[in-house]
Amino acid sequence: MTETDKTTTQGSASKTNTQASGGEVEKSGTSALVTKDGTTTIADTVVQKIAALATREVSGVHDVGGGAARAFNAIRERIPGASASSGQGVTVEVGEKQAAIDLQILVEYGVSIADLSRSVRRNVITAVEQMTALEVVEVNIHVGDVHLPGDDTDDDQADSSRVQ
Amino acid sequence: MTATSIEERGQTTIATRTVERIATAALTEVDDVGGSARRVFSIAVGGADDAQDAQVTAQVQGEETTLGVRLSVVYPTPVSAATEAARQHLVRRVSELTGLAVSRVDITVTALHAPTRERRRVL
Repeated sequence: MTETDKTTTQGSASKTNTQASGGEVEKSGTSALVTKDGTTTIADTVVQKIAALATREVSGVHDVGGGAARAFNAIRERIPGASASSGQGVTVEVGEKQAAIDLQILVEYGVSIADLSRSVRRNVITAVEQMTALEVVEVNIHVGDVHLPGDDTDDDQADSSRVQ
Repeated sequence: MTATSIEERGQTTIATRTVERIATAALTEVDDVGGSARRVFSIAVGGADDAQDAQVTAQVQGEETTLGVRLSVVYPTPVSAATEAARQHLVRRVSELTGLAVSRVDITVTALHAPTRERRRVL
């Protein structure tokens, strides 16, 4: 419908309309972000952070990010005043109405990756769509490593040793 | 607008290293098989016993994976029985955990070793 509408407007030489729409795919699509009274743009980092937090919420996800990003974050966490960046390991592409998300995650040993990726996808898409009103077209998940119960680092013990 | 359900938007890829580590961890759940010495340029380094992990290499192609395993077997156990148990466990566990079909498990038994872990004397 939108395609034919657009071609007919182009055909009938209503120049203002076609110039305004530029290279856009669909102008008349319903979106809360692009209205005739103005557009709302959402920065990549916003989507990135929402996606990272929504991913961490899912149990079975041990961490988000690749090896280098996680190592860098571990150092940053220890610097006073600096906080670990919550958007590491998440790459996003944000358009006017749609977003695509790529995640790098580390899973716990013992969970089914197929099931986990479904719940991560559901959680991330729900969170991003609810908060930003962007339509999430895809969430690609790359499982970079698995966390085994044996290879706990000292940070877990440091937390628990405070109160007995 | 998209017809696909929310859980099927996008792909999941699993790194080879993840498959290898899952397989290595799954092998520790099998009785009577132990680890294998690490090999650096075809030279064995370290001993082959329970303290070591089995060496697993994985090749992931699409929805399928093949595994190559180097492990040792505890001495009085029949080798074929132990490797068959290990193979079955790997096929079941790796496909359950990763969602990839395990099409082939090649096992190399690198050593037989005496049981190092003490048997429980009481139940």
